[in-house]
Amino acid sequence: MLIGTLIGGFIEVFVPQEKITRWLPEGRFMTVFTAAGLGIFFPVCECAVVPVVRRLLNKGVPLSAAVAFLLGGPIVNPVVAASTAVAYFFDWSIVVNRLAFGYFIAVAAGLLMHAFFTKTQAIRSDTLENQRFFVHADSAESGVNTSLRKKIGLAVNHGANDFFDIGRFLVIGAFLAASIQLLAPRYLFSPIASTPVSSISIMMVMAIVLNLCSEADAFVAASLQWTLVPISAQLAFMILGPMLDIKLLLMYGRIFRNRAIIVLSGITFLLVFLSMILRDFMIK
Amino acid sequence: MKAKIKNILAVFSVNLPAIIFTVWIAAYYWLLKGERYKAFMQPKLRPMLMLALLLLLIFVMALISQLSRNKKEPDITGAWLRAAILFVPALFLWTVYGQSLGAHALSKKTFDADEIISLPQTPPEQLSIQDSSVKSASLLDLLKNSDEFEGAHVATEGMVFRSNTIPENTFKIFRFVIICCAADALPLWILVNSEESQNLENETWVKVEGKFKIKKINGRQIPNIDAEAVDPIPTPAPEKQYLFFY
Repeated sequence: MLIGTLIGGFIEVFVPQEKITRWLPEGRFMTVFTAAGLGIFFPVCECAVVPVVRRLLNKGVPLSAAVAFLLGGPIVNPVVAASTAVAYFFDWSIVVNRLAFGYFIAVAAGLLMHAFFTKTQAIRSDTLENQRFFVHADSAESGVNTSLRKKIGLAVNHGANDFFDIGRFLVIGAFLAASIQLLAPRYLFSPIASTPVSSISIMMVMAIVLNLCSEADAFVAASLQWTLVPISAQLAFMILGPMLDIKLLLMYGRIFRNRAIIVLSGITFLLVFLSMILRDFMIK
Repeated sequence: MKAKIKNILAVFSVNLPAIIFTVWIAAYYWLLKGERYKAFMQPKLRPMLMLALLLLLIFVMALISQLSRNKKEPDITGAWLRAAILFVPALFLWTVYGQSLGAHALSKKTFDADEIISLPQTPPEQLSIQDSSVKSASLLDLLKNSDEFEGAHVATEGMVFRSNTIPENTFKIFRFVIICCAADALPLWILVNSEESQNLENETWVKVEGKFKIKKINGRQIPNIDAEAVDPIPTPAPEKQYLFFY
């Protein structure tokens, strides 16, 4: 997350809005398809991606592309692919399934969010403006005539203030997750996990409450390989976790308005659920 | 007067990020010193910890360099609240150090009572086997290479776990294996059959010596040690209580 906030700070100061618009591929679909796969080049975990997306939105990135990167970035990336491969004894079909479903769900969620909301309807007004008063005061300094040293200082300053602003949600989320992990026994989830619908639903609820990092969650899912929990349910756990959990819901609150968070959560949950049910059905 | 105090507070509150980050730097330094981070996370993540320390140092320097008497915090209460929440992890580290996951976590972190964690094999030459008669190995090595150790005389260390569902002359010897950090710690255990261990309490650290076997219990493959000796050992230092996956 420290790295994410620092990158966000540099985007804020060094990347002009016009440049971002120029870099984006033409057409909404191409933009969304590209954004969902950006994690391949910029591997970020789900905590780091939030401050980056916040800054990107501020720089004019469309809502659909921002959502696609927010959801796809923490899954469609080489670090997650490697950890999943190791956890599943190099069963590449699991890796391909995780990354492919993660990618297409991110794309679909991005497009659906665009269909339901305009950017101003979905994003908090203080995200679209500049977040803290420092930025207002110093924004003139980020102009072309400012020295490089000053610009770097300003970028780091943005990063530091972003971390101070968003970091609390990581702390609160971690506290809630730790409490749930030690108060709610995991075996409560397993007895009813033998049918696809129940097991996929239960594993998705677990993904939300356990708040595991996308680089480590594959190992927890892999510990269920030889149980009754089907592979589709294990995949549901690994795909939903980096997109939606307690800490992320709290952090999304710094980007989106409440109504947008509810819709985004609903869309993501449904897309993961339906795609995993469909996968289970097709494999059988 | 009230306005003057508010003004001073607003100017001071602007510095809260720098103060909190300095506390975090101290916490990171404390973790790195004496390898205390091993009581919380995977040792291979040490470079990440050092990078975080460096980034926080850069953040603090940048914040200090931009300080000005003209900057005032518009949301004083919010800033203090944010600072208070961010102070908690640093406080937590100092208070929780030495309290590793134990029997309670084992009972909560297990998906089912007979769960066996299956892990990829380690090449035999990388195992810490000391001599040919007694193969000394960690719980992780034993479970990762159960075929290798089948029928062998082994010695391993861990904590005792008993419950109502386990017979009196049997207990689980368990430890946690960490992949990234304690949040993803998975419990590893082996059933130990021993007549002499009935007085051992939960979470007592023991060294178990005996014959390692995979037995079929209720249709499932369960790792077992038929113990010849179960000896209590001193509780290891917090940095040595967890096993690490890589």
